[in-house]
Amino acid sequence: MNASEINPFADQIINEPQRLEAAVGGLNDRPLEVLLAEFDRLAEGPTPRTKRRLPYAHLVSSPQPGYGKSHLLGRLYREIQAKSIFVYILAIQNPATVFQSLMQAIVRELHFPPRSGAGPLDSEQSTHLDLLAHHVFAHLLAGLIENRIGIEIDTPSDTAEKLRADPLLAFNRGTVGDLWADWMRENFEKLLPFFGEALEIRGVSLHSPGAWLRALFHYAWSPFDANKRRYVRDWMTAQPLEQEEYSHLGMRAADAPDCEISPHAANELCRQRLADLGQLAGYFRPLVFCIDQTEIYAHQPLIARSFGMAVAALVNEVNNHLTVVTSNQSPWVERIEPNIEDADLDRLSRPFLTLQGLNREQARELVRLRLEAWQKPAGELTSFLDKAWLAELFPAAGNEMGARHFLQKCKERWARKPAPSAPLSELYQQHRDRLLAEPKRHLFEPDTLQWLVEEAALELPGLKVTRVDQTYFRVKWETPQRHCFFGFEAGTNWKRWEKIMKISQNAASATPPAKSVFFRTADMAVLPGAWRIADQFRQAQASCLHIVVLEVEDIAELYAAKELFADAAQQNISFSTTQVMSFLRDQLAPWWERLRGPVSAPPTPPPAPPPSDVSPLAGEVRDIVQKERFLSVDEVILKLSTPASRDDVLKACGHSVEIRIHSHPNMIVLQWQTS
Amino acid sequence: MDLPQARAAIIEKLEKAGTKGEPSLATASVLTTNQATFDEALAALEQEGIALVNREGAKPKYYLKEFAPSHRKSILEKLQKAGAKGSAALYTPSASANTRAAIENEAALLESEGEIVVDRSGEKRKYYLKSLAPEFPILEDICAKLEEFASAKYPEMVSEAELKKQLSKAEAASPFKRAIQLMEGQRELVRLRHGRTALFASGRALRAALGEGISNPPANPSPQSQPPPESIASPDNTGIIRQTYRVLAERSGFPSVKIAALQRESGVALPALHRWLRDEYQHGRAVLSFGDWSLSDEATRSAALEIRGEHYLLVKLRE
Repeated sequence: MNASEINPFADQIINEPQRLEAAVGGLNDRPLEVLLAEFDRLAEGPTPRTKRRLPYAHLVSSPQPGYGKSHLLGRLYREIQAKSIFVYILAIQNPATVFQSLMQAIVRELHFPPRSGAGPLDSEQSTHLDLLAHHVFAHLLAGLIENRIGIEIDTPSDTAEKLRADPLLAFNRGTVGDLWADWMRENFEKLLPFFGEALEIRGVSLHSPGAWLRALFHYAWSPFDANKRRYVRDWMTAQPLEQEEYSHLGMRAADAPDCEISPHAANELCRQRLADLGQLAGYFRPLVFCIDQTEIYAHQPLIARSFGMAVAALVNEVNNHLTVVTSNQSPWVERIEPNIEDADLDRLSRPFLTLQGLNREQARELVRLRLEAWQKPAGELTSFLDKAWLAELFPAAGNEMGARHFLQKCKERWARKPAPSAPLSELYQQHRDRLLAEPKRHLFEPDTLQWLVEEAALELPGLKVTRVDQTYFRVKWETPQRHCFFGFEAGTNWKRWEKIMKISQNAASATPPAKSVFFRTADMAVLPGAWRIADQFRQAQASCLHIVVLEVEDIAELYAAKELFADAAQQNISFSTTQVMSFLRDQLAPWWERLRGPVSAPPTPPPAPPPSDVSPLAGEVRDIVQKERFLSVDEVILKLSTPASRDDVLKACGHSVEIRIHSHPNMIVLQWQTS
Repeated sequence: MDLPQARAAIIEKLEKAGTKGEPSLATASVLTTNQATFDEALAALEQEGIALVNREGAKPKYYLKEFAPSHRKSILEKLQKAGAKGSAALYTPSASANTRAAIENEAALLESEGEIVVDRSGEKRKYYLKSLAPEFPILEDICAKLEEFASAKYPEMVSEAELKKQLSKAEAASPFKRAIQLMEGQRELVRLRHGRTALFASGRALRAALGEGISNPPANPSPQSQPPPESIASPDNTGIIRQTYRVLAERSGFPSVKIAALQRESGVALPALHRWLRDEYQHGRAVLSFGDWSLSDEATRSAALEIRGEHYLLVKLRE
């Protein structure tokens, strides 16, 4: 089999809305227009627009799976990506920390460059947060200059205009030698009270204005100081900071979360941070939150309730943002809506935005687009689109059919035989391959990991799983051999880790003995840091404190499990959630054994690859796929100038939003696609 | 002082503090031990569930587990005291956000465990201990009472106030509006206007008077047990079906409605409805969708429309 033999209709699910795919003209234009009109209400006119607030969130719904909810989000993204901060949010797992989960998702996005298809983190590029900070300071400074508050300048209007016109050029990420960058660095502390005044003049009322301004300044003026930028992100997500860390940001102890902050307090703090961020976004671009895969809440009433409360809070408390929620109609009506308070449901705009199926002409258009994308001869279109066949599916021009259902019929027609669903192992592998090529999903996602050890592990033999509500731990496993306490710490506060270490050491001597398990991703700071307890910590790591460092391949493997479950919950696949859970119990067996087993010796951290290792391969893969239009990964490897593995090529695809990945049992095909 | 001694000292202090708890335990001066040992002992006690830390206030407060204030306990006590009147609030307005969240979480848990009952029919929620909760008026009973009254009054029309008078105080409180809404949806009551005044007439009596011969649908009929009255497959059904569709779509907020609900609320027999839907589908005026078979009950499934061997649960009608 070679790439040209791939069934053009095999790919029927969109899991990554930002990736490009051609749209059928006229299909679901109306809901898109409504969302764009709502967005325009936030984005029109010059910045700053700090006080705009939409009265409702929007529910995008379809009467059955496969009507194109994620596709619509993709179209929305392409329309507004250059003028919004677009955050794609997957299911939350812990009802007690819903705002912290939202803020973590937002901060993950803010730390990426705004261009579509941004590859792995690259400090050379400005991130959303860089741009936000530049715009905030440019407008504040321009306001001070215009109003002659604290600053006297000969050409106030010209200067203010220039600052506002191109903030990035004005401050240039704090580059030494740049006039305004240097001046801000020297005068920042003196300017702070005036900036505070300028915020007040605009009616911006932040919960902690000084801390926010310091955080933004130190982030944007330290583009190559990964640690400092991490402190800022930790501060934004209510992670405790050590004295040395918050001092680096010019903050006082009162500005930084306490090292013993409870999950509830951290959640409340994140709720405040969200409201503050909304106001600050008015200086730059509106925030757009797209909350997908909500069907998962159909299985979790408490989370559904918290989710409803969170959506209402976003509408009530966060300026300059648009929230879009997607759900299939039946799970929403039968299982989600009944668990949400009426007052919270009232924050959703009615009537809901409902998606339409393809009509006969649109079905014809979809076939044409697919055949063209796979470079099939023009004659194939005519023979494929037999009139009698189309008339059977669409008796009248006004009949509609869900896009995925129609694609399935096309797939079978193309194959000239019924096309049974791919087995779960293949569907799982498809998710794994796709996730390898999604740099934004290579980061620490505590909700996904908690789902894994709390839900996916639920019926493992010989294991009892309970949710615990402790400062450092969320989930407990009980096995005859030992108890395992799972925590999801993103920070590096040594006092907090010291507590965890001591609790773990103490619990290790109980009967049965216990161990603590914490996941970290390879991009996070290595533990222990240069702490005075580093030696003790390493000893604990060897006996009772299991730090599981996840490489990109591990992340793809684990996150793929959640994606597969989400597919089943959304009925994107013909397997039930129970079948998926059963499959995952076997598929992830090595992981379960590793997590429930004794602590293994901590691995030595792998040396960080030099940044130059990534980009040339990405560029080369991009060039090859663009030239060939579609080919298999193995064919790409043969064309590369240097040896690379299959996973390396998939990871390199993460740099190019135009490359779509199609996983088939015996090959992975890369396809070049533009809108 | 070593670790076991520190543990013993903490336990002793917390025992003395009893239900008041101990706010100053964190200071090393309380114990003649170093801070690290103290922290370690306290963390271990917390981990073992012997000591509890309440972090809802500005400063933490420490308790032995048996003395720790439990929101669960306080909620149950409060509702026990409130008796059959119930309680509209579980915390005081001055409660911190953390405390509110903790209490609400606990209340949600108690509700899911069936210990307490929450009445959400009014503008504000009201909480009751399950054993003391009053019998909440059953919506169906209220509807039946109102229908009986409106039918008896026919051909006289009745006002909303007159309808309300037929109900007890509890019934006439919050569920009344919902009952009227439901009855209008099911065409048990027909809203008419005289000037600006809304008046109601019994739908059943009106239909009988118009000679439609369609009895009101039973509350939860088995769609397939309906006889296939051929007369219902008349073109007149279009008006009834479309009107019912509009009510259902507006009520749910979704343009696709369950075929089962359309049959139940329109009163049109299932075979006749299926024939009508097939015809509309052939002319492109009905959009069929699968819905979610796994989440549907037997009544919904048995009303599915089969076309080309595929079973559709939902329909959207084009105007």
